[in-house]
Amino acid sequence: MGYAAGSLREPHALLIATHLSLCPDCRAKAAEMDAVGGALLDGLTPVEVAPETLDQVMARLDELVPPKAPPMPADPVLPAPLRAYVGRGIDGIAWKKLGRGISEFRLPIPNTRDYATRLVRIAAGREVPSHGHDGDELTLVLAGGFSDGEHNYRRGDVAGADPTVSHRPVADADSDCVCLTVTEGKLRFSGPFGPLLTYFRG
Amino acid sequence: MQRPEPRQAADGARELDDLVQRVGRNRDREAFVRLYRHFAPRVKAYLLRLGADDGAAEETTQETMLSLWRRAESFDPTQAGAGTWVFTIARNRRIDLIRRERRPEPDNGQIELMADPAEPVDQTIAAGQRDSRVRAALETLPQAQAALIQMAYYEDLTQTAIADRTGLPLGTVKSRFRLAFARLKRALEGDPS
Repeated sequence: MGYAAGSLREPHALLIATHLSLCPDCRAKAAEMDAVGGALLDGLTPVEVAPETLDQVMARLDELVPPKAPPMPADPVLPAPLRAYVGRGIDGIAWKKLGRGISEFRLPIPNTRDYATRLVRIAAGREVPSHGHDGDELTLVLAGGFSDGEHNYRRGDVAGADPTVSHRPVADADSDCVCLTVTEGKLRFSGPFGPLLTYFRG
Repeated sequence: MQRPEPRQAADGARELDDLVQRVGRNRDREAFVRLYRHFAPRVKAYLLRLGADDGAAEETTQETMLSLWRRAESFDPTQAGAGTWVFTIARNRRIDLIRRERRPEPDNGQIELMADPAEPVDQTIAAGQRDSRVRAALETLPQAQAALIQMAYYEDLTQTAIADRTGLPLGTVKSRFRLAFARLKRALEGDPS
């Protein structure tokens, strides 16, 4: 719902848009949330728009619009919205090795110092050392899979962990696991995902 | 809140869909002016509700209407009604121009791996029907639930912020959202109870 309402910050919106690219079921639910926005817009009491605004708009109708950049080539791991942020395909990523079979690539998103938005790659069968978080963390699986002891997550699945959770994800043995991870730093993660996840899973 | 009769509302919604398609197919300026007269005052109201000052609301309304003109060709009434479509444009232009962030959009073409192609998701109800059912369901929501939904869409508030604002416990806020969504879901599945 936060995504539909437009209240999510960009890193979370990116994670949701990427998830929606992989999940038609949630896309249908996102369309319902858009319809809620449409119904609310419809019910608003109209306010006066400056009379000259219509003339200004009409005068600009014939303006030439710069053509849209052509879409990036499709990538087997990175859905289109994420591919656009990474700027290259999965094979061109300059991974930074963190040791123990784990690598990361930080996505540059302006004005989001409170968030860490990263691609994380865990070698097949390797374990991420037990960790908690300062803030909430959302993880979307893009390739391979991992288990956190309770659930197994595969491509398209989203796992959430709040600061009270100390977890130890283990990559599935069949292939390397690649995830998009958004960790909230100073800000306490809250809100939009509660109902969103509940609703999407319900 | 204006609450037109359901039948009237449905006819009005179809007329708006037709107008957008006339703009998309024929660059019909008269149709565009009628859309402007309907939507611009609502889009501006939406932006003001979200805290924009008058200047920013005017500018973003103007940009939203220009986007409507430019993108009308891509409007597909089987995907969303005109009101819902314009809402998504206004929301995205606001994020872009007022919050100055990018708005990542899903790739609707990417359907790889999904489970059972024999059961297409949510193809059962047409977009127009969905929009009118959502509208009807919203009108019957208890005030307490409706107020929270409005806060989420109009005041950019997360659930925690809504709890802070209203003084309600977070658990109450969450359960009211759950109830509201459950009712919405029943309405979409065609069960009006």
